[in-house]
Amino acid sequence: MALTTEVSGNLLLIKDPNETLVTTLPNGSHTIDWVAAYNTFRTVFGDDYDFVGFFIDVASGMPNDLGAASYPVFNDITGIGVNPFDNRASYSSAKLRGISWYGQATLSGVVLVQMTELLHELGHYWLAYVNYKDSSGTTQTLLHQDWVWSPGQQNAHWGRWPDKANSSMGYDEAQWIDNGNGTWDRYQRDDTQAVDDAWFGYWSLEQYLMGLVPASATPSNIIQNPNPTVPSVWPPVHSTTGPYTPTPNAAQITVAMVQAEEGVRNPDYMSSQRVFHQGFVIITKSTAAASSNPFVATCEGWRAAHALNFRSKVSGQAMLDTSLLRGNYSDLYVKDNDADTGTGLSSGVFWLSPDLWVRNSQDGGTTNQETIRGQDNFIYVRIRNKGAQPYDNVSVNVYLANFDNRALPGTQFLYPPDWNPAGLIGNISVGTVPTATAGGDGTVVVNVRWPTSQIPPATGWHPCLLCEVIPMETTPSGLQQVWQNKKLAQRNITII
Amino acid sequence: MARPVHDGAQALMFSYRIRLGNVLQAARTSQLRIQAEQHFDEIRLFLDPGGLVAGIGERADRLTTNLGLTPSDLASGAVRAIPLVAWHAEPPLPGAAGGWSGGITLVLPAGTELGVSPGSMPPQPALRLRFPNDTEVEVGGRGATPLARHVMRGMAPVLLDGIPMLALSQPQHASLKLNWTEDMRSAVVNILGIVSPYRRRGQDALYHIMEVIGDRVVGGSSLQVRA
Repeated sequence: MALTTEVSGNLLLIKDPNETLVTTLPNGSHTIDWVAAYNTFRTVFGDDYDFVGFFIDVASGMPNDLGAASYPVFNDITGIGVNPFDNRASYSSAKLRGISWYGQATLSGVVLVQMTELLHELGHYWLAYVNYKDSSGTTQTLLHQDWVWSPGQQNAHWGRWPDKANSSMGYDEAQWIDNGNGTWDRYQRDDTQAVDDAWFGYWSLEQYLMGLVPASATPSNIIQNPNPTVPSVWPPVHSTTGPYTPTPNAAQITVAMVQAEEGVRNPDYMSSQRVFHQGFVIITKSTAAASSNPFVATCEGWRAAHALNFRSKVSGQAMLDTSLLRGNYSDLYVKDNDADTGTGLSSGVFWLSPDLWVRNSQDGGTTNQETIRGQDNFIYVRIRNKGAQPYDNVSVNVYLANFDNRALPGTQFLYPPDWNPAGLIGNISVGTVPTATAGGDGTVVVNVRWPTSQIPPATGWHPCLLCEVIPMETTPSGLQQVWQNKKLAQRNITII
Repeated sequence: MARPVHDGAQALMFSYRIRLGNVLQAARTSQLRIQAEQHFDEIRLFLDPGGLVAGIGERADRLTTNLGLTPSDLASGAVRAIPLVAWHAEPPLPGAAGGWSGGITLVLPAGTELGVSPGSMPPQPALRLRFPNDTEVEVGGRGATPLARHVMRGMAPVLLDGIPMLALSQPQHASLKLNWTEDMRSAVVNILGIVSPYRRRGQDALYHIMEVIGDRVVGGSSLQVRA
């Protein structure tokens, strides 16, 4: 049987019962024709994705030795330890930056994908390649020391010596703890444990390399030549070993030292890409309908959780849309003002969106009411479709602006940082947004409860509400403002 | 004595704090605009520009009230009832830095007449200024201050109970140029409103506070005051 495809929500299934995508190598191991797999995806969903990830359905009979890895396709960033390269032509893509796959099966043949693994493979687009120059101007590779795994991977991962905080880009999964007396302990984590999987993320140096924070990222320590040496075998999970004494002492590295070796990151955090699209595909031998394949629901859980987890781990500095973009995704919009017709660039007052309002009760009213403290309120959003095709699988996120780190909201919000997960009030799934008619846009009005516990006190504060509609636009992709993106809306009014 | 227009009306004071700029904003200058979509004269608005405007006190008129305002009143963020406000305005202190400077005083005895020359035209005998009483005229000027950098429209520096503020003299169209630095790309400003009880019921005010870069509005918030 030839390859067939099926769309299931925000996943594409490639059904390959005869393993036409699979190649058996001379040593008996397997690989997949990733170019062919990507092009199958692209013919269904277009060339709108920065990254595409493949879940391997081992239980269906696909090879169980593919492991998890990533393959960068394109890089135009300098200062991250990798020279620019461009392999897009072989993928017939003008957008793709990298692919990754997840087929790490247990002995019983069950693929388990941790959030850490999804962060790790995505992180390879920027990480972990850099070295640094020490104060004498000598190149140091200590960020990758000491390496006890496959030698070929050393230059793309952090070693065991650097104190890399909660980085997901190492293999040791251990955390250095500064004892404050010149010695350090190591706390062993394991990303198959839920508590640890939730802990791993991206360290401050990594967030600089990802173009999300300025070069003033926190300095880090390298526990060089520790005494005793770090054991090669993992100690029991959640145990602490040590103390370790670095020799001659812990080396401190700064972003400036990395820049001295690699150059300044370009583009910097002000002009870097902040909105990314990652599509997810299941490669399976099963020809069964998606609804009867339990692996599909499992993958959907990973996909959805990954989008939230990534955004949380970068503190909202970047946004990852993992929804699959139907051809008419750009017909969806929310108005900035009554004159806004969803062209993508509005003008005039944009902070009083008619499509985002507060009600004191869930009464379906369509005018904004002053928020009442001490009780639940409700936030309504109207999603519009200006096209001739309906759109399924839409979701809306509503945020309280700047709730994360300061008591006062502002006027000048930038997406995505101000749409911060710490200020998320709620997420609403929308089944279908209907087509436009002669009478105007097709619309769906949804609401989310704004619990009293999330309504800040009156003194010195007023609510600024922000929302985003997903699927997100592919452009602009850098820091942007509400009026630049048809999928964003704002309501910023105080009533005294 | 005049009475409030409707029963229960009180004088009110509110402060409205908001963050301008953005730590990720690259532009080094922007403009703060305040535009009233609805306004009633019983509201007096003052802008506390935080650390964004230096030199206010150097050429500010002095405005004192019976409230004895302190900086903590401005920062409270609260709406509260206040006594009926008695306003007392005075010009800047003589000799204040950047303020009025002079030293020459002309004494015009009663009956003095001056001819008036409009532009470059020759004096017109019929157009005279006459001083029926003894008059003193101070001759001086105001020096340049850092305020000139802010290109203010519709607002004027004032010391409100000694606190440096910008009084919104034309809230329909007021503006102020903001200068951002590498270290300060964002700041909190405070709009202080004092509402007279002699206002009409049901007459709301609505102000749009905008940040503009070039000719593009990049940020905004609205403040509605319900009478």
